[in-house]
Amino acid sequence: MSLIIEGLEVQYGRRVALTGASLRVEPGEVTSIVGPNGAGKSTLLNCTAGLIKPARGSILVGGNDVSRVPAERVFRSGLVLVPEGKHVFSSLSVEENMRLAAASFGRAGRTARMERCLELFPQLQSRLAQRACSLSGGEQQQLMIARSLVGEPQFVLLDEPSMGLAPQVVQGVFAILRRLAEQGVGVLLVEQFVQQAVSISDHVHVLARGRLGPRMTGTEARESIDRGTFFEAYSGRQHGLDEGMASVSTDTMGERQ
Amino acid sequence: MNDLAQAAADAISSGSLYALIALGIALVFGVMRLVNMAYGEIVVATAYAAYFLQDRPVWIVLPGMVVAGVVLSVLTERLAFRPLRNASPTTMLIAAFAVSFTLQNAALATVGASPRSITAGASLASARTIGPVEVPGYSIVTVIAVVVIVVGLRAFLLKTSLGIGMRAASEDFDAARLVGVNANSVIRVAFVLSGAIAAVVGYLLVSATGGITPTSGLAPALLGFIAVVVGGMGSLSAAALGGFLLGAVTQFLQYLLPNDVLVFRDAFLFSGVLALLIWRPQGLFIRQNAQERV
Repeated sequence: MSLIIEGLEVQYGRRVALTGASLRVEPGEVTSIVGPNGAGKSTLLNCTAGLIKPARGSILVGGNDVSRVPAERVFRSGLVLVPEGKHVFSSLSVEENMRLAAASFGRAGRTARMERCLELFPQLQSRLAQRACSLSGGEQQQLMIARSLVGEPQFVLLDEPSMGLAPQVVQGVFAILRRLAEQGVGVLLVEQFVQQAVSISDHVHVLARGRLGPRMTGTEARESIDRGTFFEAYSGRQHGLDEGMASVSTDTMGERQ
Repeated sequence: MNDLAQAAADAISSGSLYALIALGIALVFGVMRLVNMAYGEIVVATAYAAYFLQDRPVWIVLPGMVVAGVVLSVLTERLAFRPLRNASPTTMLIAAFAVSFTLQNAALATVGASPRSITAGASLASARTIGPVEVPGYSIVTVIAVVVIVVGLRAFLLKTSLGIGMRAASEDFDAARLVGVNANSVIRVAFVLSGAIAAVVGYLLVSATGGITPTSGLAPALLGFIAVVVGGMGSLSAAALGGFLLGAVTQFLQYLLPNDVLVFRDAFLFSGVLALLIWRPQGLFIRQNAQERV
């Protein structure tokens, strides 16, 4: 069972935000998409998760095309998006935030799923009754990931999970993503901080100006970063995107201080 | 002293009615960001249902009003507001006005412009003496209704999965959909509850006034919306408190103003609303986190 995106095109009015995007995410693997601001990364994830209708293309989850179904049904098909930014439901308790995503399982199933999920996030265990708005930024990010996992999805899409977090917290979040993949979940990760994303990835794509570059293995991407040729070799030269990528390679390829 | 006690009793009754109207409007606003100016017409439709059913016993009249309110409320959502769900708030507001005028004119065309006398709920008009004040039956029922509805709504929103979904959707609709909250269900339930509350408001209004016209809903809808803004948009309890405050202040102004300026009561009221919004633009009962510099 794979997540297969074929020839996806998204338009905002007349502006083409994403064109001809094709990729494949396998269970148990982390696939990263990196690229500059405005490249279309969030558009790709939002469209895959059902928040935006594509103009063309297909999104297959286990063989079923979900490209025209709304977000709530995409969630039930086993694909969940952790959106960019702080999207916890701040007036709800931590438990209510998690319970929401397990509403369709009945009380017993819900409790079991929540317990399994909280094993990954022990910090949240003692804060179940607290309002989500009282959590720190890192804890809120953990809650967003925990909430998305309660339904035990087959594929998890994450949009900039490192945004606004301290470096130690980011390392923790990335370690959890790797563990998820080891448990058989397919992870599709969008990140501006290339080195961190690539370090946990099995496959990497570069996305710039709405065009998705070819798939490379994590090892190839890491070697390419070490040689300093990452963007030129795998995207810029092939798509004529050198200008757009040049700014990224200097600004965001390094580790955050 | 007796006058003041009487004014306080009237203020509680009037405040409770405004709180109910504000709740009906805030429920839909919460999940859809729609200022439903057609809410008044739904109240009016339930009153006309009472008019057509008034020879029947109350246990038929009240459910009939609820059915009328719920059906019309859900129909407006399905036919007018759902196709515009992703439109701008301005487009939605204009659509709400269009629905409001359409319903008003449909009532004018079918039942005419002349007021219709409604005997349903007339038994609630007789006053009971409680201590130093005389309280009409509908005032007591209004207070009981608002308590029951607020407690029931609170239990629904806190204890049920659908209620938690509604709270989540009212905070961040897309994020709620991303964790499986069904957008159509949440919005439909908001319109169902709003329509049912409109029926209760309709019953209490006709109990107090004894009649209805096609345009009777305009003022309650407008006041209800102002109450939502005064209390704070995006929170049901804030909206209900805003409604209560607006209704109570209206009654106290009625009591306090001298006879020769009583005709300007609403000018005093809305000047106060304006001053309050300048002081707290987010509403009285919503916490402001940070202020933008402009």
